[in-house]
Amino acid sequence: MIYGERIRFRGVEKDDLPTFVTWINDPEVLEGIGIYLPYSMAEEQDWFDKMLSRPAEERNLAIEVKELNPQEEESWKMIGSCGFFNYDRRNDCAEFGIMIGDKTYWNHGFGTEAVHLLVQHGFHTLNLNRIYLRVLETNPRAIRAYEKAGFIHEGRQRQAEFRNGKYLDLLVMSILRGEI
Amino acid sequence: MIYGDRIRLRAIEKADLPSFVVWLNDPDVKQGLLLHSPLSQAEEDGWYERMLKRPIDEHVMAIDVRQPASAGHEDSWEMIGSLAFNDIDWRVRSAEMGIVIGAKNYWNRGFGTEAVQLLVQYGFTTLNLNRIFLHVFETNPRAVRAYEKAGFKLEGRERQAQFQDGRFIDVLRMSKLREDL
Repeated sequence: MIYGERIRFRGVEKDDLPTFVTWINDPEVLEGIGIYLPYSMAEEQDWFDKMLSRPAEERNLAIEVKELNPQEEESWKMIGSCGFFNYDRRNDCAEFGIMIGDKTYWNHGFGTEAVHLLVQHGFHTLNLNRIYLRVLETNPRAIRAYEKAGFIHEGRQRQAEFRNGKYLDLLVMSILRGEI
Repeated sequence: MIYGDRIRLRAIEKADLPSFVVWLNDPDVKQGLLLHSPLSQAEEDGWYERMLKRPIDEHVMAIDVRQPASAGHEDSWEMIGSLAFNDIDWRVRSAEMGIVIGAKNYWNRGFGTEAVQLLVQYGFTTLNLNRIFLHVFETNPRAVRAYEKAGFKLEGRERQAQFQDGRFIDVLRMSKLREDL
């Protein structure tokens, strides 16, 4: 596990998949991610098996929030997932992606905290030099979270995505090891 | 074949591979490419077989330059490099392009620019693409100038995205849209 202040990361389990399928079929969640078609449980299971055969650094992590029950006991609730991909070992560089699927946790700073924690993990444990991401221009909530976590705008991929009948720009943001 | 003013684009043949191996092992040529280890003929043969299995619109094409005609002879052509689209995304109508001019005696004479223009024209008017993009190292001003002349616009700078000669360098990203034609 990787612990932050209010959140932690743990490996994704098979039991998490039904929740993921619910999230990535939610049109509001879908607007911010790379998926554009309805997604089945069978496809998700297939994704999970492939994910397990990838190098450990590139496996997805579940984002959990610490909660206290009435007896003041700690419990953890999964609100999303994140991970590195396009991992380029020679160039010490990786792309990262994140999804907060549980909408009741939007706008509480959990995304920003998760981004921050993952970036730290990338620089301090995985020894990356550069972490970058792509975000749709129509997703200001995510852009703000990335800016707060220290990401710098470095490019605009013009008309690189197509949604709802029109082409959209993809923004590229990055953070370097020295900038954390 | 796709014909331009001074050049044509044709499908590559197995017989072209030895020239590619020479070019791709030339340090001056390699400086501008993603390739970083020495490349053998055997590896190049393997690459060729894999390339043939890729979608036809992503097959690599040779850039041939028309040679001065001599009396009574047909046109003759000399191969100076190669180019291709890769990662074509048909839903978004976007593709990346890559090019190498391996014959260094043809550098700085506008052949790269002409080849890029020809490929872009083909991409928009035959493949029905909407967006063509490319990556180029910040250390390769000759290429950047050629892409600018062909109408590409700088759309991003991927900071320290490539490790070359002991240091991280930036990778520039340029694109051309169909509406820019």
